[in-house]
Amino acid sequence: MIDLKKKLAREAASKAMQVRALYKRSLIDPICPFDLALDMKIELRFQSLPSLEGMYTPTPRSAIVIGSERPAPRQAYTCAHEIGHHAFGHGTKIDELQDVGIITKPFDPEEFLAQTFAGFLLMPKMAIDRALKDRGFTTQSAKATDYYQLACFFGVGYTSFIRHLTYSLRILPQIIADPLLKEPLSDIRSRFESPDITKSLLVVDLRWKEKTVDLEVGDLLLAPRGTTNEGTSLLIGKETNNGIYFEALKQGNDRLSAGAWSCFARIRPKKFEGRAIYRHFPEVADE
Amino acid sequence: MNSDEKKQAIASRLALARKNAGLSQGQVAQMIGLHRPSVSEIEAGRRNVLGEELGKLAEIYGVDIDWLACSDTNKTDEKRDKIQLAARELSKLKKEDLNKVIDMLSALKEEDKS
Repeated sequence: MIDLKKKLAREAASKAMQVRALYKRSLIDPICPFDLALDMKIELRFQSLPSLEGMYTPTPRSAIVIGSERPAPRQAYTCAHEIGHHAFGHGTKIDELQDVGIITKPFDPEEFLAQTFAGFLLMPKMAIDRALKDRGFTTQSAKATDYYQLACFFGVGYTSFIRHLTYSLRILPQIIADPLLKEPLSDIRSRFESPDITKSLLVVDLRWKEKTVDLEVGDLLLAPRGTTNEGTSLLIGKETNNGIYFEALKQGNDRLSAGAWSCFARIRPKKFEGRAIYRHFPEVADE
Repeated sequence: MNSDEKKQAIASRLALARKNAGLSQGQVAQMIGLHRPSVSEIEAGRRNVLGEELGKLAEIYGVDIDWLACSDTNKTDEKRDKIQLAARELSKLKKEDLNKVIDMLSALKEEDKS
């Protein structure tokens, strides 16, 4: 079984790199799996289906359906997983992921392939190495807040990120990972001086150059000090020692900038249901 | 189905397809160059929808134009059967979710082969 898993993991990593190359994604930057699915001409939809995490079907056309009730990082991971089913040419699949990074029993090689593919697609080793180096972090010395910031950068959950580094890439020793995994997210958010630790918080730094900031209405954003926004979808909030807070007010697109640094922010409705291509469409004022 | 019933059936599908696409009437109106009340009238079955408008709306909603025009009975049934056959795993879903997802998938526009 261990040999089979190793073989499948190599296959998944290789396929993830092929997909990135084919759709012109570099190996050193984070990607948005929703945008990738659209580039792959997959019909991507979000729908409120409480018993569903995600689904892929090749018929009547290639389509992915993501449960809209789940948190955004989890939706991203699920989307990458479903792209895996598509890339490997699997048939119709319904996925009820129990916990990202852990495959439910009994062992299913196609599910293992898709799940491992998702990890390597979203977090290739080269991109992780680069992200750590750019910020002066090492896996030995990085703190929970550093890992949280990196998880935001890769668009995945904190736990998924730690697990990927520990179990898939094997660059984070379990002895360090275990206490990190026990840290409650609310405690980490409070260390960033979040004005509301119950709200989803995205931490953005000056290394976000090619990556768009994706938020849902109601989410908080911590941006570098001195950041201002152009647009009306984000509301500027308090400035702290860690940076300046924004709250996502309504769907649409804003631009963030601070000195020579800038990036785009896309805001979608909370628990958006519909075609992925319309998720950031600004609402139209009634006549 | 008489012409009034068909008009109502088309109107219902237009409203359903728009909601499934995640768009408001105002957004759709802007996309096809109509005023919002016109979209509202179309979806209430009080205004005829032109063939050209139907084509544009099918494209925007990502659905099969025959499904939108309610002239698809056999085609949609075939699609539903295919999805159900291919998706034995769909039994994992709650019945309500299952019907919702099959309805949505069987209305989809087929893959563009070009």
